[in-house]
This record gives sequence, C-alpha cells and structure tokens, in this order.
Amino acid sequence: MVDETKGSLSGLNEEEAMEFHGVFMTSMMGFLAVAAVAHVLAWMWRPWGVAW
Amino acid sequence: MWRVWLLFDPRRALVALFAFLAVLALLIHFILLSTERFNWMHSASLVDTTEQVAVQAQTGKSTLG
Repeated sequence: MVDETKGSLSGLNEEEAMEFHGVFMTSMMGFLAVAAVAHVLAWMWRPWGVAW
Repeated sequence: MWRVWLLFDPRRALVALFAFLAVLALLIHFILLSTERFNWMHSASLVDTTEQVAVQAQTGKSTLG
C-alpha cells in the first residue's frame, strides 16, 4: 500500500486532516458560543471597562 | 486551513490547547477574585456590613465613629 501520508509531518493523510478539521471547527464554535453567553451574563452582572 | 493538521499532530495539539486554555481560565478567574468589583465570593461580607450599617442607622448608635 503506497503510504499516502507522504509529505505529512503529523502522519495524517489529507482526508483525515479534513475530517479532523471539521470536528475541530464545530467544537470551537460550540466553545465560543458558551463563552459568549457567559460573558453576556457576566456583563449583565457587572459591566467592565468603560461602561461603569 | 485544514492543512495545519498535516503539520501538527492533532492529539498533541489538542492536549496543548486544553492545557493552555485551562491555565488561562484559572489565571483569569483568580485575577477577578483578587479584585473588589468582580469578587463574587466575598459579596456575603459586603451584605453583612450593609446590614450592620442599616441596623445602626435604625438604633441611632454608630460604631463607624
């Protein structure tokens, strides 16, 4: 079997890299959504920066 | 953008990312705890002092001098 991961430093082939990237981006969006909600709640509790 | 995973091994990248985010989260929470305005734990003592002041106001005597 030709090693189709030639040129890949991480050992992944292109298909695996794309697949992982999809899951990674989805998870990151979820993380950012939760963080955004948390910051909105914190701001409603006590604003920071110039607003107070 | 996905090509980054041809460079960096996802397992090591994820472990490094989680470690970095954990340290950053701890740092920020403790910084906030050290402030007056954003300390969400000591607000109980603030309530005590305000109650104490309110009680004194009613009874006319004040220990604040």
